[in-house]
Amino acid sequence: MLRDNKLAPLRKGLLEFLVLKICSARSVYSADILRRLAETEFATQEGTLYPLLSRLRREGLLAYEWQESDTGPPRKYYRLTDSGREQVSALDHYWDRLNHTIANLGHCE
Amino acid sequence: MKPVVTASLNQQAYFFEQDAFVRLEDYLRNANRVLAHNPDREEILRDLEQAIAERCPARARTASAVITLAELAPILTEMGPVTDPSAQSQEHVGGEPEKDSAHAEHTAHTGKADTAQKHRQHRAEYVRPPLEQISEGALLSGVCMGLSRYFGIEVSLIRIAMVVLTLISAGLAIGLYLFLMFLLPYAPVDLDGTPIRRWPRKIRGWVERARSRLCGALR
Repeated sequence: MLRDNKLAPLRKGLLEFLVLKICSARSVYSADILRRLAETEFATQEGTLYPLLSRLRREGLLAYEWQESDTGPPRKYYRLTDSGREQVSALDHYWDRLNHTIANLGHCE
Repeated sequence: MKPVVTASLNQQAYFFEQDAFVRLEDYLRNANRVLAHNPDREEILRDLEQAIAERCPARARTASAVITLAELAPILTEMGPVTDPSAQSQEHVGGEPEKDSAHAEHTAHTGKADTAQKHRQHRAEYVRPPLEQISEGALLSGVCMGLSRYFGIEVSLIRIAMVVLTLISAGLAIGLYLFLMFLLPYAPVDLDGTPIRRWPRKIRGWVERARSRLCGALR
């Protein structure tokens, strides 16, 4: 069986991709992102997510707008920018290619 | 009777029991340090404060109810340790060309401050850890543990040196210990729950209370 510490870096690297994907459908609040990820093996925490979100925003892949909330102060809702959308489709293609490569390498034996 | 501290989390007032406040302060101070070179530090800290505030029990928002350590600790555990994604990619300097070029682009966008930061990170191979007191593993207050980490010397050697110094200096070293104990900040408590002995925990409480009282008196 694969040891988890071999897979952890893989998951860590993919987290950015997943966050972008979650933001691609509609604008989301950070707690929504955490909830979506919590259902998967990519479950993460605010301490990791917030610095990542702000980096993605700085790179121009995400943008946010403030929305009023019933229960407290206004919240940041994140959505993909145009260049974020390009990045997601590029990553999708790359992922397909990786899958293809991995599958093909397996068949050679 | 327990002392209560008022703290503003993203501009809303909350009441904390002293030990809960110390833990919260540790968490945010640690976040501040991890994000020291992050251009969005202030914004991320505000977001973290907001998330902590949202997780605080609802009654704390409406009435003047006090948040205890037992309530706060699981909140901070759920928040998880703060990591800096940009710092992580820069750790592997020279290893991965893709990451380096991504960083170069990033630098071009953000200008001077970031360039300075890049230079600093390239130059500083070894960063000396901050001189702090460390409660985990301490016998008294954590001064020797702190000195041990700072100088990279086995803690038992530091302790023996302190005892020898005390003997030959007719107790002067005790004064030095007390001086450092009140002067040196405490390192953030390890949130994974590394046990702290009873006395270091007590002493830390006393020192922090004495400090805040002194600050109050000076103000």
